[in-house]
Amino acid sequence: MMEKINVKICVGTMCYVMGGAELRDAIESLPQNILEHLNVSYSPCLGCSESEQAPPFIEVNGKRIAGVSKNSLIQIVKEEVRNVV
Amino acid sequence: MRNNGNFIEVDFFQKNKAGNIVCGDCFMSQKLKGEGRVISVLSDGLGSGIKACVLSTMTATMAMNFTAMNESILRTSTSIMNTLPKDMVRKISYSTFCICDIDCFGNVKVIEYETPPYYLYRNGRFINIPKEKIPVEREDLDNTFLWISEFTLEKEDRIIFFSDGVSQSGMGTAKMPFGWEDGAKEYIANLVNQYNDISAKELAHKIVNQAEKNDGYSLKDDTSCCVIYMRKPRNLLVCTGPPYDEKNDKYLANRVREFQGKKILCGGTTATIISRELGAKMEVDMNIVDKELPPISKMEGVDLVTEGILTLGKVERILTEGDIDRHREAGPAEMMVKMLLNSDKITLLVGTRINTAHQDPNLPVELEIRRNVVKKIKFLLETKYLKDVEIMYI
Ligand code: FES
Repeated sequence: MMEKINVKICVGTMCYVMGGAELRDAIESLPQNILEHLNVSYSPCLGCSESEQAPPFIEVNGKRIAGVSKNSLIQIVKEEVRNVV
Repeated sequence: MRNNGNFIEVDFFQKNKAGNIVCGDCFMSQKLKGEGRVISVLSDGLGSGIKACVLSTMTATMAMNFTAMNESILRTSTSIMNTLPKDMVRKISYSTFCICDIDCFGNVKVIEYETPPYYLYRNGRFINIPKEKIPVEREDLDNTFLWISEFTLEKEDRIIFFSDGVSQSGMGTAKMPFGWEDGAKEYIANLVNQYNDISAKELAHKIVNQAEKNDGYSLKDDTSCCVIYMRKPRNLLVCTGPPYDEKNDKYLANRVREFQGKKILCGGTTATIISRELGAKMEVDMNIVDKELPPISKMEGVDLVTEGILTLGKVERILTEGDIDRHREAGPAEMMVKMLLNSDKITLLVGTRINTAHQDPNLPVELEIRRNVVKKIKFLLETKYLKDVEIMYI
């Protein structure tokens, strides 16, 4: 059994207004063969106030990534999945 | 309003005579914070429709203001009767009123003019308070009286007064040829026996709805009911915003843990702080959705965890519109509104650390300043919903 990739999406105020609201749809629109490798969760805030970077934020396997859009999220996730498969 | 550690809940409900778009009954209630007084007035204008509405609104407004200024009741009633416009057909100017004035010690004075007698429900039974009868001098009507009664409110007391839409409901039907009358007492006693802590709001709703049922679901008159209920306060703590000084994170968390009552955390950073300090696990709950708002979270020991400023903004909008029942979908803001309205004493604990990112002009939406929204919510809760609200900054 392979390790799953932990994807945490922020649904806090800043991320939400900066486009984070769409990230859930983006993730859920992925095909099953990708989704099965993911462990998706949500967070009320990933600590934007201490960061210089722009929201929305996600965390992939504990690593924070800033400025994520619908498209870049899909890219990032596909990339990660390719690495483990 | 608090009274020796007790809370006085005042609420009311009304329905219009079937087919009418305005109500000929008028209810008002006001807290005089400085004096610790609560004054409630119900007036029923002659007839129904707009004319009755004008009469009762004038009456209730005058009765309220004169009472608040401690004007004598005779002058009050004379002024009202001299001011009301005369009915063209009946040549009288007429509307009933019931004034209930409660001071900071729980002393109650009820003044009734031509209304169905009020009920005082105490310890499982209705109490009859002796009333002083004062004749009213007026040219157009003989034999009308003011009835004045005084007593001291005890814990768990309920005062119930209503327009004759309630007492005369069902009149002419086989079951109650003379109207509901004492049947109402029985109905109230049964309800209170069954639900000891039924709120004033719920009881008033139930009574009016039952009256409508008595009338075969088509009310023959405007129907209003006010309930005043003295009880232990239901406390609510709303915590929003991180403390200005991080050193106070612990203090904030302790306040939340030790608070006796229901608890709401409003804001991601705030919730994260509490979760960390109290070692309480937090999980976002994606099951409750509102397209306009980020989701809520679940945390042990806390009744509701929501996002901050956007949710507060929507709460304020709902409270302003006032049409709570229309917001049936149970999104985060509606959940918070429900909890606010089901509480008597609300403490808003507001953290003042500014999230500078919120003020970034590049944001696609304008985020309000937390303090301002909270202040507006306090104002609405106090004036419109008669809640006891305090704000503490941290
Ligand atoms: S709101 Fe997303 S990191 Fe703070």
